[in-house]
Amino acid sequence: MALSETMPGGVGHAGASQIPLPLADKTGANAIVKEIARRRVQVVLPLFLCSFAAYVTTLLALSYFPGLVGHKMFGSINLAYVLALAQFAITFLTAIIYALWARRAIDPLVSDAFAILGRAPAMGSVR
Amino acid sequence: MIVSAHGHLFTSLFFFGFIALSLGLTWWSMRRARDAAGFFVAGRRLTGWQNGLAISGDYMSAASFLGIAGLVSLFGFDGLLYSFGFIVGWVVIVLLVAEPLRNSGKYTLSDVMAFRLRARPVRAAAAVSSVTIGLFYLLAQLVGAGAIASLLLPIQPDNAIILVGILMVVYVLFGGMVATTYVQIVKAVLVFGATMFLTVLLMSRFNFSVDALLSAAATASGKGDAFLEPGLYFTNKLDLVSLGLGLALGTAGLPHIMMRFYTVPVAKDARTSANWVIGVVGLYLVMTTVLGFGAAALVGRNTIIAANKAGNSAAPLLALQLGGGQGTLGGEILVAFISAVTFATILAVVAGLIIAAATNIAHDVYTHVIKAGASSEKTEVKVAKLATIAVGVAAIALALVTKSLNVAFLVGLAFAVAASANLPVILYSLYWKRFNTTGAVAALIAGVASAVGLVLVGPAVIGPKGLMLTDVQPLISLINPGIISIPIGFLAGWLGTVLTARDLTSEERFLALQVRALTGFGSEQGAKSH
Repeated sequence: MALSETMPGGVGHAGASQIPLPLADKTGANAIVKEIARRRVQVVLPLFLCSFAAYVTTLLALSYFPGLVGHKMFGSINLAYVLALAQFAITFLTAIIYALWARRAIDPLVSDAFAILGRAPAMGSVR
Repeated sequence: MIVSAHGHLFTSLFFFGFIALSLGLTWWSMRRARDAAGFFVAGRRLTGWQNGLAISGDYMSAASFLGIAGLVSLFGFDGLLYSFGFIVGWVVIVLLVAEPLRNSGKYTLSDVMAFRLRARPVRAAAAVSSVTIGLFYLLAQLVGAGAIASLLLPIQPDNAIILVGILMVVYVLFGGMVATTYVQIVKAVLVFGATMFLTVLLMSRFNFSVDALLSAAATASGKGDAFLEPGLYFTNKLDLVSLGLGLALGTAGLPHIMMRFYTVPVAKDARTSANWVIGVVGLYLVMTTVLGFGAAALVGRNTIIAANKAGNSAAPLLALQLGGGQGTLGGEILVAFISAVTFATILAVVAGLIIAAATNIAHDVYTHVIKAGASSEKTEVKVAKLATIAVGVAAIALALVTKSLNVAFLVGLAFAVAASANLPVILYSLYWKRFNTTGAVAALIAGVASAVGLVLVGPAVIGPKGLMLTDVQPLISLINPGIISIPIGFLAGWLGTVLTARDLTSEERFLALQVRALTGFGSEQGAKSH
């Protein structure tokens, strides 16, 4: 059975529970999905944990180490202000790294999955 | 009130200009918002940057524009927590939620949960949490509208609340998500432009030296270096951490923000939207804090507090000062423009909130819980329109009753509920195979109950600084419940799952969800272009 026949519609009004399962292994799409999931765990998870850890560390430093974060770094600009601005920098950086990585490592796999299923990602579905 | 009578003339001109423009957009949107996908998610035809700007507009609320600047102007560094807490929330969204959500769902957050779990209990519980979040947020915005109106416009708070309420119902009723989006985009550009203009004007007074600005602010505040360090606003250390966690983890569970990801055609556009938000909102939030320090330096604490105790007038007063001061034409035009923009922002944010709540009621409660999925799209839109009126009327009535109370804590509470109830269920649904319906319902109920319950017994509601029982000591000292309620939500979801039998259907459907979430195969398609 082709994958396209097993998954019509989506969570439409007919109710999600009517989509037949499981996905057919033979299409090869499952292997690609597994690979996408594996790559995401390898890259997205560490990215998330690092930036979130930086944030929590900053919160704790601001709350419990007032002497440290009050240390002046450039003129009247202290460590607290630098840490606050660093959160913006870290968020920008995380988003940029993720976007560049996903374009290279994920998007082609998504296209592959669609190629196997005989569709193009941006085209309208058969409903 | 800040400005003179002819200052109000300018404000009224700008303000009615915006109302006319927004009603024009609503009229233009009517045709595109007729069918269900058009009404709920703008036909999924927005581009990534359009949606990014519209979401950015959701963040440029009066609470951030006036609130952050005000907090920084009075309490210095502590006000910054709101700004960077908001932006860090986008790490969770862009990495873990935006794309899988766009691929898996249809109109609401609950679609992702219901894809693999039993739809009725999960949608019912999720609707309770989402509508609770929406109402808290809505109430905070509407009460804020009343307070700000009396500060900036020649209009009574009651009238302002009713006017905002009626306009938002009109936008949503006739223009659906299409009108809401375009009003939000126009407003986002206005607020961003105004903030940028003020920031450049301000920094030019300090030769574009942040160092000079901060020293001037510290000196003028009378607190010296302490003004630039944490501790003036958050006297309870744990409260700072708790609020910080709530802000960063709550964003990904906010229904009115997350449903916006359904308005783009494919997941890649959802990623683009999120990146736009991070860029635009990030810059904007940094600028609001700069304006706060500017107000502390140039306007001064006494003048700011004299106009409004919470500091909400800091940004408009700074605009007056930068434009040339009281009585000058430049000052009055600038403050009039800022006031009108602030009002525009409340209108747009409130419209976004109400369409999210109406969608939850129509799509989740009516179609999937009451009708068990057997309802036509036409009926769903009709129910959503009725819900829009009902939520609008309820919110206006509640806002009129609570308008004299300090409800600023409601925004923090909305984030805490989102982080404690919605986020665990979304993450578990997307990434944990073993997750089941009992776990989801447990997390949703425990998350909402713990977040709301902790605030009810905390200092924001009872005790000397609270709303009632002012002679009783609050049971806990935390104003922000996140640090306790978020782990409770995640724990309840985990326990509810592992303590009950494995749900094989949920595990099988998890595999289907994974395919769809990661590739977009089978996802809802956008309307064809005309």
